Amino acid sequence: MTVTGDVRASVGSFVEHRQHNTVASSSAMRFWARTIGERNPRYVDASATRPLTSGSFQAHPCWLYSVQDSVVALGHRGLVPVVAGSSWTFGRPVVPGDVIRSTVQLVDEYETVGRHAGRTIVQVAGVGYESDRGEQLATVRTTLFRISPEEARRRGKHDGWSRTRYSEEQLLQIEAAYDAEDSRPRQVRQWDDVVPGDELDPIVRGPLTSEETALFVGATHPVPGLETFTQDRLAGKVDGFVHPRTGTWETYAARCVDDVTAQQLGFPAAHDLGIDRIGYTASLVTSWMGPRGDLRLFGVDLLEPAFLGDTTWCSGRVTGVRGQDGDDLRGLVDIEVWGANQRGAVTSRGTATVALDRRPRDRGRRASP
Amino acid sequence: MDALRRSALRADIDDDSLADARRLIGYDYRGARHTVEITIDNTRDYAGYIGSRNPLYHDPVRGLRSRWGRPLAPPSMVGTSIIAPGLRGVQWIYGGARWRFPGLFGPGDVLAQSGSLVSAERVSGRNATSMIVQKGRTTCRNAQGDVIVEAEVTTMRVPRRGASKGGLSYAPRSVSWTQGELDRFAEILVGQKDRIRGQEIRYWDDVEVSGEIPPVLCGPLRLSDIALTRGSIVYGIVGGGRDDNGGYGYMLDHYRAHPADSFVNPETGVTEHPHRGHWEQYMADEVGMPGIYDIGYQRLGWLCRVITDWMGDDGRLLELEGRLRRPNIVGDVTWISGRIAEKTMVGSSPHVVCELTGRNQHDEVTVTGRATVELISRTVGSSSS
Repeated sequence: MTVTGDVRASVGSFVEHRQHNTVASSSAMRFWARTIGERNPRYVDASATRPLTSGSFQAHPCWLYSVQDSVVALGHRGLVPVVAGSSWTFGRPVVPGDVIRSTVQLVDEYETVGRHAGRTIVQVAGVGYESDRGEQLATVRTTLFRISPEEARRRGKHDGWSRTRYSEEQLLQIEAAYDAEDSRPRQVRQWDDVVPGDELDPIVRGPLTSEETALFVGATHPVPGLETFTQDRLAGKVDGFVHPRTGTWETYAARCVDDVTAQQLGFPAAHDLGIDRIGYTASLVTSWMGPRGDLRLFGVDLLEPAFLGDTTWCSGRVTGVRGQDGDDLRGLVDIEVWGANQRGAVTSRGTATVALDRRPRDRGRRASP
Repeated sequence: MDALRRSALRADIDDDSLADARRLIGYDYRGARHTVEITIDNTRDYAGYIGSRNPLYHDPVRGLRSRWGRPLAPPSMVGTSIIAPGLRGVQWIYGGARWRFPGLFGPGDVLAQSGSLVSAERVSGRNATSMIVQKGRTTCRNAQGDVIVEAEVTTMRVPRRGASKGGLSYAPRSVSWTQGELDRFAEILVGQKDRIRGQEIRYWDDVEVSGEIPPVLCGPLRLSDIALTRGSIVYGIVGGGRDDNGGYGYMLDHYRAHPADSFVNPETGVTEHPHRGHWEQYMADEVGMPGIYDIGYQRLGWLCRVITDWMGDDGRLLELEGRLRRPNIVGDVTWISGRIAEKTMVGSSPHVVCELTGRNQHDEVTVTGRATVELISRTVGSSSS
């Protein structure tokens, strides 16, 4: 969550915000990727001795959330932000040493009515990530629902929810999925070999635990310390509440490890941040695309929360194979992705576009649709 | 595979335990081997973690403008790794640490840490009938091989609740504050930034023995202070340099290799990390703590914050020692105060030794410490390499 001035930002103008990471250091890149369960050496192994076939070491595309997490609570004090989705456009990969500056704008704002919290302000925060050489590394548009805690509690959308008690079989199935995952792709995937309808091998993430969400927060945007929080709270820059169990002022950010905090917002239990889920859904695609693939576009809508204890299976399917990415050495592939939890509920949907190498000798022979 | 589903071992301390706890004495301890890349970002993260708003650590230019001529990090940021091998199924509790800081470090440094287990002794504590205390020593060197930080970390090994005997037995307690009390705390917290000495030199000559550092308020402790203020660097250090920190896939590898270092969540059946005691009541009860308890390393960082706020940009922390005395749980307030115990010239170097004490709202001492600081003197030339 980012703090703003108490003056409501008008659409389009740049807003003051706090950035977390300013430098793409090797350790910051590696650690962040690990917190979303990423095992692809491309994103977690800076060693120069690892196979060249696994691609040059770079930041996971969504590492940029650790520069500016895009969960920017612009104005509307009292309404707490919930991530509804993100839509990324990527330039070149972030590499060690990059110095990065983020800019934040309010791209859109409107009102809707939802089951969770009734009247909801919807905001789209636009974040730009620039290198110190002026390159546009990426942009993201994150949709946030600004919800009223009181209204969300009153409506009790999730009443009747209960935590899953996993059977031995279910847990073994999850472990087998981790073991089977091709998280260290070495084979280059050629654009020429991709056909619409191709399925991506699903990957599993979870069961989600509080350690994992705490790790993710630490890597992405540690919560401001007590004095800063208190100062911001008194200045009306951030929302807080007096925790019924601990008796202290607390930040809503604790909802990712603490059930009681989550319940303040009408959720039955602690849940993920949303951007973590978007991050590991991207991993499905970044593994599939192989060591020479590049993620160009990536967007996910979060349809249901992922509570602590939930497991997410990320799946995908190629929907289109098209054209050129820059020159005729590369082509583009469109993919639809979705996430489902252990109950079989679809909890997210999205799309991705990747750039893949084309085989030199086939250039010209394959007609673009 | 089913080893993961068995509830965590609850082992006792018996006659064989001491030998087990001593087995790795003198060996290079793999879990303490860690390379720490100190960056602007993780320095800020660590400063935030210990509650320091000192511009010296948030803005690299301040360090450049100080007499040190380089960006600086809070000294307690590196060096403490828990070195407590053996005794499968026996809980570990961070007891305290003692640092020496032969060198300065900050953004731009890459420090290589190594360490070993030094000793293991059997003791009886106030709140645990039988425990073993293990001591480890770490050394952090810069790229030139110079020793920058040396630390000794003390870990108590205490049987978990449910083991047949021993174990922590704190009575559960809760904390509540009136709105008025919370408002008063908030006012104090916001005002504490003015107490940072910063660029105004604190002269050795002006410091008096028995002089005080008035109490600094740390708290009321939030759950988020424990769980969510930590940046990634803390994991690399307190976790013993574990490369297995990460999402569930990583934890799975770790649990398979060390099934005793895991806990089955009784609600879900899922194997989870023992850190849960730091933000979940259930785990805190398991360990025998009176409530959701803080991370000892963070509380020692408060001592570092208080002394570095006091000494000013031109002061230099030479040694810091901290011992955790009682649990600090969510809701608790800790007042950390200091008293100048000694003022001496060590060669041509003006030193002060400050004793630090942390007291909670029940006036119980929860943490003690001791800091040795070099200050600038008006009259005597001071040297610091």
